[in-house]
Amino acid sequence: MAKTLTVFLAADLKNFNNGMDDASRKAQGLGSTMSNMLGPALVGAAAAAGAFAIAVGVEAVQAAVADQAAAAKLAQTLDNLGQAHNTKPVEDYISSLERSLGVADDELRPAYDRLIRSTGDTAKANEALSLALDVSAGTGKSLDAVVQALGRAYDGNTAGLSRLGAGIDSAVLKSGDMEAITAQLADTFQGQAQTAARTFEGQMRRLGIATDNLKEAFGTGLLNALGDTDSQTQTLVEAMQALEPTLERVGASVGRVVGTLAGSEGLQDTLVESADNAGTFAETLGVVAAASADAASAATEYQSSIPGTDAYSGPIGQSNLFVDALRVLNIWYAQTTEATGVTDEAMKSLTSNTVLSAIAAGQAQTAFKDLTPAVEETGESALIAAGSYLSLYNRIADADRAARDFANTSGTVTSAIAQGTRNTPGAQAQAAANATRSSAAITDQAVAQALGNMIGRSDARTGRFVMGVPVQVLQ
Amino acid sequence: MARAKSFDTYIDGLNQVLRAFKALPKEASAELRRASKVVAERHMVPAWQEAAINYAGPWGDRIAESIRARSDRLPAVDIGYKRKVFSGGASSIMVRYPSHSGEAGDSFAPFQKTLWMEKAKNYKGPALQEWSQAVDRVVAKWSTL
Repeated sequence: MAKTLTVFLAADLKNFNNGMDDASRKAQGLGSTMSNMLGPALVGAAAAAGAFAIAVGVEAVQAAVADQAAAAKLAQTLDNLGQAHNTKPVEDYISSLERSLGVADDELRPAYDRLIRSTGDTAKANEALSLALDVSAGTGKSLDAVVQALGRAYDGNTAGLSRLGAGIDSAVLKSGDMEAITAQLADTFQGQAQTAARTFEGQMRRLGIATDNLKEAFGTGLLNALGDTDSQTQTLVEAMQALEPTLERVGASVGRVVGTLAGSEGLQDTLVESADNAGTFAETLGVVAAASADAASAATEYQSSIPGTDAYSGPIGQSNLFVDALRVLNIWYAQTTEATGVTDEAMKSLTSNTVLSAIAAGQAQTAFKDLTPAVEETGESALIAAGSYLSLYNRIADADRAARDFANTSGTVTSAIAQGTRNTPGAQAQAAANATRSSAAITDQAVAQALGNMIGRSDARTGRFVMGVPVQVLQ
Repeated sequence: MARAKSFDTYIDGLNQVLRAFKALPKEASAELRRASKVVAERHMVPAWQEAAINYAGPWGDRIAESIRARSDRLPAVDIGYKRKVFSGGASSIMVRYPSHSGEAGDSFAPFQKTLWMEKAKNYKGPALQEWSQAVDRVVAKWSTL
């Protein structure tokens, strides 16, 4: 039913998002769930080396960061050209091309950036990018090469276009009329990109890009979970910087703790090392005690040398001296123990973080398990699609075979008919000749006359009736 | 009335802005409607009419006559009437899309692909700017009363 069209100047972004399909929504939801689960794990795992979280998370974050950087670069170009208000539609357009044609946004954004710089207009750049994709798919040239040539052509230099092998008329090229050039290119290559996307390879490429997008979505979700990336990242960096000295001090201890978590062998080593340390400490204590005794003797000698001081003189005095020395030693020991206690607390704290990270990594693995059915489902869908594709391929192959068989059969039948046509009058003639030569001659003449009449026709130009091909042709 | 919608740009959080107007007196919304209509008449209607006249082929004039500003809190234009304006009995609504896409459907008319609706685009920046200024003005006026 015909309706009045209302064009609104703007709409909320939600209106656009409402158009997204269920699969996309599911993918985003999945990414969000994973980021919620993995976010804490990654923070801890950065120190605790949670292998799974790092393997998934770092790659995803890198992808998200690269994606964000590329988008920011394009946005800056648009801003510089006074097209900042078109940033969102341009991103949407690139996203739609990426999903429908299976060309990564990593390629599309620089291409768009190049084209918008030359055209200065998003509508023209949209058309030019679409055209470049078609030409790229049609000629087999890289998108970058085609875009550079198109961009230079918009700048006034059409030489690059002639080298693309796109079959553009040289007169049109020399005219430099981009409308005519693009129209000719469009006529030649229209629909090539779409066709390429529909091939099996194209579909696999689109599936790969969807996976990459899922990864980027996960990375973006993770960065968002950390908070505003600009400010929070700096805070995080500063916090980590402040943590460096502390980590340096306890690094060795952490290594041992992590080592003990890795297995009993490490624990044994640590215990042996601790025992060695204890032995060393005991030896040290012994040395200190011996030194104290030496000091006591020296003090006794010193005291003896000084008249009037007898506090440490004699056996009792020496005993007092030793007790006082031990008291000093106890104070030193207490201070050392206190310091060791601080270190132990730090170690416990770090161990606690490590364990928390391990737990988070475990949660991450659970999330990964949750993901598994979805991946399996996708795999099954892909398998079904592949099966359908193979089935389609087989049908096409069957049809092709049938067509060839038909052609062969048709040829055989035609030959047979021709042969039959050739043979039959001959056989009849032979039979007739065998029967009676005179009657055969009469029959042949009659047949020739009859056929001549049959293929006679009225000349369209003169209107006169003319005889057709003589019967000898059939004999 | 049955209506098809099209949007020029997408703004994150626009619905929240419009929803916030409910907190203001009704006169604020009415003033925003008037301001939006002025923006539409100043920027959108001429741009769409020019696109129709220059690119929509022989149907362009009639289509251009059917383009009018709409009263809404967002600048908007309506394109097409149900009223029959062509000798064959077609309305401007009926020729609007075929003259753009070239898809004639059951019609015998020689429609060509002109993509005329994509030609109206240069107004978006100035119109958005003016409308956002109008929003600021209305909010500043009514939120302080």
